[in-house]
Amino acid sequence: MDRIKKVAFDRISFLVVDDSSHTRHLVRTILYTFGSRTIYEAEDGAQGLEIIESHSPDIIIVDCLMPMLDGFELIQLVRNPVSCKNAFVPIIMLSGHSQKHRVLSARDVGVTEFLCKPISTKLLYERIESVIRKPRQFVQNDYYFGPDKRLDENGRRYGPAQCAEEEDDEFECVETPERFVQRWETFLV
Amino acid sequence: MFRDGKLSSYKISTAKLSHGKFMSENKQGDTQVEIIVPPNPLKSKVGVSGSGSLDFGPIERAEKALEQLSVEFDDWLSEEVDLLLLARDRVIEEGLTAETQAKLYLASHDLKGQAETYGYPLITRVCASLCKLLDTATQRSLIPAEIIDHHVNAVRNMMKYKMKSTKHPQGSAVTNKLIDVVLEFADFEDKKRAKLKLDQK
Repeated sequence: MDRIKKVAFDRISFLVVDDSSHTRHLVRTILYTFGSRTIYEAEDGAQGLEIIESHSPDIIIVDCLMPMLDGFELIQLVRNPVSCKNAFVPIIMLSGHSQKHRVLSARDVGVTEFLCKPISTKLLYERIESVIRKPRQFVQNDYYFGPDKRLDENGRRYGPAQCAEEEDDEFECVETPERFVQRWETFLV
Repeated sequence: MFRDGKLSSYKISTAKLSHGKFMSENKQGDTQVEIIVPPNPLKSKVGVSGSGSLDFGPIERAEKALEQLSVEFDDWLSEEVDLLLLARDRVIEEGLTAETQAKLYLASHDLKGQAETYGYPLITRVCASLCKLLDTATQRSLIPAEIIDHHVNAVRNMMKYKMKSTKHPQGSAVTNKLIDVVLEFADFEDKKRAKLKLDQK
């Protein structure tokens, strides 16, 4: 039976990192109406990092360009399992920039999802739902620690640990870097 | 690599990847990686249920909340346009330095991201054009100050005269002209960059 997907947002804590107080207000309003009651805010990456360390939020929503520590630098610091206790936390980048090189940079530092402004409530909901329901396996090598975004030749998540539960899932969230970029290129202004 | 310490409790396997690119252009070929399956406490914590269509209830509620919030949007836009004007004024006073350019870029970038939400998609396009102008120059000193000015003035006037629709005749004409000029400049800079590359070889 096709049951509606429900997420108990009241049990999730969020951290919104954006230098624009208006954007933070908008995102906070959206998350609040989704049902979340624990929403931390930071106006730059440095403040965001402190909150990550002290409160371990469940999901981080971050802007890319900010004074002090920007979104890319923040993600790099978080995706370091030696120094950050919350290295696997899902990170959604919410950015006004959708150029290919910025999306690639975000992918390369270990972002989980990338979302372009203007903020779409539906897309934000979908991304949050996706990172909860289908967390990606992580890959680690000398250059990178972060979510695995590749597919194998058969279009399946690469690696031995494919989640069986995904087989019945109608949404595809795992993608090759090329597809990841391609998806966001459609948003280019 | 992270077998010791905190990652040791996670399911880790090693794989040799040989198909295609890994994470960036310069890391092709065989790459030894560790595949880590982290625990998913979030899923059990939030108790996601169902597997069918999305729950549109929260999305509709959020849309309504944004609609209620929209009475504030003109004020918010005005504040952000003021920041852009301030950044432009600093460029006029101090010239285009690394610092003044960064301020101008940040103000333009923020507006680009927000203006459409505030109901001004033309401003988003003008700011995207200004960001591109600042992004593509090979040398800061070559960025034409008057083109920066035209962008900032266009944004100010679009707000002042409430040019909201992308079909607004004057608004869209100005926007398209600014984009054309910046594309021409970017094209010129790209060619210059390509020539520099050739000369270096």
